[in-house]
Amino acid sequence: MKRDEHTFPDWELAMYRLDELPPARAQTLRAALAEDPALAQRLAAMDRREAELMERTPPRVLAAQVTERASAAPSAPDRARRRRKLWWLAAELAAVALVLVWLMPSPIRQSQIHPFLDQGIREKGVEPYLRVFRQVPEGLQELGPRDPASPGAQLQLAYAALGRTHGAVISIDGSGGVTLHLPQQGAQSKALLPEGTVDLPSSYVLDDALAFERFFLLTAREPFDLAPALEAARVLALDPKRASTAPLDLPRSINQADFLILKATAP
Amino acid sequence: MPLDVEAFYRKYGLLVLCRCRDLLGQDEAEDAMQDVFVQLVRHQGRLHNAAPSSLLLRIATNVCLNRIRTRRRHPEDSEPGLLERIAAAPDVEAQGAARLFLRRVFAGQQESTKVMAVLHLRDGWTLEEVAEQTGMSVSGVRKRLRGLKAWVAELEEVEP
Repeated sequence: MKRDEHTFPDWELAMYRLDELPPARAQTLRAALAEDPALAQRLAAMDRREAELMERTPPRVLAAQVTERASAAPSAPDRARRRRKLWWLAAELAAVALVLVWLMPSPIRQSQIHPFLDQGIREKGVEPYLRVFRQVPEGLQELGPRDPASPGAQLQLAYAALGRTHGAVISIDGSGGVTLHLPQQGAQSKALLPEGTVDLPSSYVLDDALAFERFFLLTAREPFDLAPALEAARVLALDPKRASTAPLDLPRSINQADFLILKATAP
Repeated sequence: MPLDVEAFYRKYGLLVLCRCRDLLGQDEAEDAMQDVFVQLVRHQGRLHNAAPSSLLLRIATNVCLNRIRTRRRHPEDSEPGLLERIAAAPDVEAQGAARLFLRRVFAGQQESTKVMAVLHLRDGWTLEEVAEQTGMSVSGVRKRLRGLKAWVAELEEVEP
């Protein structure tokens, strides 16, 4: 939808107030201000809103947080170099995997079709774990750790909490992105079904971020805040050397299980 | 000399917050605002002070598009709007252009087509205003937007 040219969002008023709006746009806004008292009032209210922001998030606090986060990850050129290395590694691994798949008698093993699910039979010891399935014409095909998947692949995740009652599923990718899968929003972990294997409520489309997608199942016996978990994921995602292997920096009370999917090149 | 984050925030914090709120809504805006300043610090060596607000506007738009793109990775979500379509659009410049975005911006080179698309298609800026903001010619902006606009229009035809 194209906005009415005389409707000015707050950020344009803020730029105008700084005298840094491009001249042509500033001229249009100036004309609108002369005709529209409500718009002039919004502009006048910017001082108060700015004071409120500075009170809510003081400059010293924001600067400290920003500096800490900025120093937590290597510089962009370093990341770019490391991503290139990861990309080549992923491409080589994907090529090997494709050869192995080609050598198999059937492209899809029937035991991997997802009928759903062998409730709790497939116990992997005592630790919670994730299962990852890819949508294929025949149904759902289970993927193994480090299996390749192409951008655009639709993935269905499932968890086995093995007694843990609260959890979250987060993923990081080779481009530094972080995605919250369970819950899809909110500030707290989600109550889990402690027994059996449980589908996540929505599937997930793999994008073209570089190299890999790494899913984390975080579980605990008590509810926990998601903010530290997401921040730990952001920090790890921006560290190419550790992103595909290291755990999240979280308290030991939160159990972590991960599942790495390598990005194959698009067909 | 290290970037004076406090001074930049004092002067431009409200602008960045308003832009993030405009694109993402209230809940995510303050987190995104912090992301914008983190990006600014990481690339301070290439920062030139000609028009910091224009630069911050472009970084903020890009940060918000990345967040919107992440949201859209769940196909069961509601029908995508214009911003979601732009965020999810295939890159018409080159693979990985989003990752190159900051380098290009700070090096004073090419601007992200998606940021231009948001300014023109969503914010209602004219091609001339977008050109002025990005330092490109009007014909250059038009050319850069052509492919992305076609992609967005095609989606609108296909989807109910």
